[in-house]
Amino acid sequence: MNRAWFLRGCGLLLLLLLPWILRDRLSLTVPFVIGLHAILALGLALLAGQAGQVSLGQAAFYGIGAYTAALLTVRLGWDPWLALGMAVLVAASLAYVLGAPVMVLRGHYLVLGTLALNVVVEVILRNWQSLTGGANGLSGVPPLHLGPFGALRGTLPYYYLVWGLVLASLWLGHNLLRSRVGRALAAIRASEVAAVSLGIPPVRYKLQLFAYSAGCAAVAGGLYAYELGFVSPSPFGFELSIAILVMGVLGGIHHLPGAVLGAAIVTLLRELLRSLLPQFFRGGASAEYEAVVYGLLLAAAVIGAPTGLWPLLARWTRRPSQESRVQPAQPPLWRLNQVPVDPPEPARDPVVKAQSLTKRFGGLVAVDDLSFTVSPGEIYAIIGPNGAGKTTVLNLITGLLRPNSGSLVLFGSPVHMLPPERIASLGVARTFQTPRVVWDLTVLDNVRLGMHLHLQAGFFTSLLGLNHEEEASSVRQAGVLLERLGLVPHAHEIAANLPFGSLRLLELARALALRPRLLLLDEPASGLSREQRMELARLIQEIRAEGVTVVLVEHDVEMVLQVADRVLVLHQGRRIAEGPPSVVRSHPEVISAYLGPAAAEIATAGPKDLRGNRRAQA
Amino acid sequence: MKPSWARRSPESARGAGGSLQVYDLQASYGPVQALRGATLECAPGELVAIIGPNGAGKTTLLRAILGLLPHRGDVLLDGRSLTALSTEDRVRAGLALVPERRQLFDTLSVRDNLLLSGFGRGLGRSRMEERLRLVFSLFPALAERPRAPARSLSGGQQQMLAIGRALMGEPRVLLMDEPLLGLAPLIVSELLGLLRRLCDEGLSVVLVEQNARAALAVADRAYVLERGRIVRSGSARDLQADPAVHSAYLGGPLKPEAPRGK
Repeated sequence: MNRAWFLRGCGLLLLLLLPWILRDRLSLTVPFVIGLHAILALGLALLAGQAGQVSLGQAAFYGIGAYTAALLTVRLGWDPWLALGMAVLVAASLAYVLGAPVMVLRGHYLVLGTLALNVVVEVILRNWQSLTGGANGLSGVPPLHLGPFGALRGTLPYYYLVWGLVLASLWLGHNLLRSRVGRALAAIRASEVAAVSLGIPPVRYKLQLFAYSAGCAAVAGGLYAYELGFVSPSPFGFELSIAILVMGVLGGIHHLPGAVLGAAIVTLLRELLRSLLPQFFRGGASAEYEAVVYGLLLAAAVIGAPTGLWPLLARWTRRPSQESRVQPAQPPLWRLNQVPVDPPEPARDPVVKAQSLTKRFGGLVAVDDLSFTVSPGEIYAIIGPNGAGKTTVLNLITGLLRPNSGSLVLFGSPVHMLPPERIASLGVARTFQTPRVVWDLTVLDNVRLGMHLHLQAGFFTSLLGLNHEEEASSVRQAGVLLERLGLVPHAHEIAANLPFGSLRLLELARALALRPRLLLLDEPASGLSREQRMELARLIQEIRAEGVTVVLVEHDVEMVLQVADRVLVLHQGRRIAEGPPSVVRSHPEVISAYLGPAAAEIATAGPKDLRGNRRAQA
Repeated sequence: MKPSWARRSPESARGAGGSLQVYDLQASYGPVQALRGATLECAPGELVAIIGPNGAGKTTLLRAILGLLPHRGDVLLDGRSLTALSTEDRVRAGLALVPERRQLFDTLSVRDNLLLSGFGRGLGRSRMEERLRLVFSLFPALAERPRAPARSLSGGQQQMLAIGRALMGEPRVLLMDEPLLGLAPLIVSELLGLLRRLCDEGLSVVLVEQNARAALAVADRAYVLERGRIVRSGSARDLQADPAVHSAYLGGPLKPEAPRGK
């Protein structure tokens, strides 16, 4: 048994025995409140740490949960459990409605939105006297009841209930992070562009997570109301939202157990300050000083432990060689199950049909009235000087950019209005010029990101961990791809540790995991060693042989001439030549604009090949 | 078509190159030792290439020379040890790096990216302007859009900007990490020609390059780095003729079906 499990056991025992330890000396209220705060902070840690969206609305959803439960039981006489369920539903739906317009705007607008929500909720609670009882609050909230135990009175049952829920949310959060949805969130955090190109809809996942964290806050609010039997507006103020954020950051926003640790530290400190400060500052100024102490604490945490306290603690409990996140799979197992490559039906429509595409960036015309067609099963290369618009063409095909004019048809259906994640789901995969992998995920998980569209597990399935079979099979399939690209030795390394060349191969593996019908490669050979380039050229031909159409943007002219069926040469967004490699490479305009009269001597591209050809022409 | 600088030798590029000496450099990422004692030198006005497979430690070597990661061993510029200096001070002493993956200031304009580098080296206004003219004459594509934010440039243009930014600071030793990445063949040959000329005029260059053929064609001397160690060194001409180097890094024309080497 290792130290981490031993400590976990100790923690659990302490939680169980705490009521007896404290007995009559101290009230159980503080541990109960820590539990409530831990649930709030866990919701925030998922949202901020995983989806990169900071919310200052946890206190508002906490209040909405408490008031919904209180109002339904007091005014309408609902069953407390039913009212709790309703509270969750109300908070989650509100989060969904509020989040929908906010999440579409990329960036940190959620902070502003939730800030406003907090203010609005506070005002309503205080001033809608007839409904909420105003500042006096609502009393007479009935307690929960539980079968054989009858009505749950006193703090003790709620203490166990809330800590049970803390453990449950830790477990749910843990499941979520290790699932298809968790990987999707990591991708969204790392690069939204890469995520949508893999068919991951960022808005949907962010919204689901926001609604989930609001729902968790509402559960905590309901328990608070039932335990106390009374609700008033003051505990749900804006300061609590700030305190929750401090808890998350102090504990370590990327680590779920950190949220619990942060909640414990901040809540205890709050209690301590409440009893200490009035002794120093008379006349009610202590609340302001409390804020000062928070500020100092936050500053100290950010400077001293920028990733939070939990990683420091975890480093101490875990031997460094042990990476518990991913269990090393058995590579030979992967070989048992070959990827089911269902050969795509031979299409007759052109794979890409672009007509008069134009894309302007301000005054710069990046793609200028460009038409071209890519046929099924073709390797179609696009070459041209730097800034000719090659990558822009790929971005137009994948929907990352919308053309200013012109039409684009993929597999026979017009796509110019589709968002990139829908285009990916048509079977379009790509790699990027600068690899956009998720640095903090393992190589294996990065490849599994590419399978997003082929895996089913949704938010709730992932939360409950009901995805084992699918996860296991996705590991096997990813293993086959890793083997194909020679990445098996790196499978369990964090992507950030890979050398540049291997990152390119990793991106290619991820793109292949999408099982594309159309594969777009943006300078796949740059940064690769000679040996890897040869391997890549072989691989591209192999991929084509499996029925995939390939569009290749590349400066390694030697490779382009080797593998491409047709070559499009762009210059300043326009076509200057198109045709089989043999025709293109001797085209005078191509030589003057791109290859260069002297380039062949020392350039990347096969000097001998080009030189020989030009002589033959001359 | 050919820019004017390709023939004219840039007057202002002339400057005394430094001599760089690196002794027994060692560096690791956590438990992984990426550099296991690399010793090399670059004389004033010399163009030294470093070739080797992916993951050999080439990037680590340049980063360690610039002090971007903790290392053991010694780095000397003109006989003066830089080992105790921070990266900023090493840059002030005359080192400059063209980093892997560009690492530009994305939201700043092309011009501001360039000026920042001169600013960091403490160049005066007039030298800065002069330097700016030089860089723009080297890369006309940049001169066309000086006010465009760096992130709006195409990949290859960003690479030019990264090179221009390093040149802007009047370095004495220029460290280049795969500068040819993503550049069109025409630009590649022009850039290599330019490097050769800058070296002939006194600049010292350490060129890390995956494209061994191009690197050896332009370099004076070269080192082969494998698994964190220098395994071969010599004049570029000798290395080009070395059968082991040839089969591992140069090879014949690329043929996917062909067996490795000869």
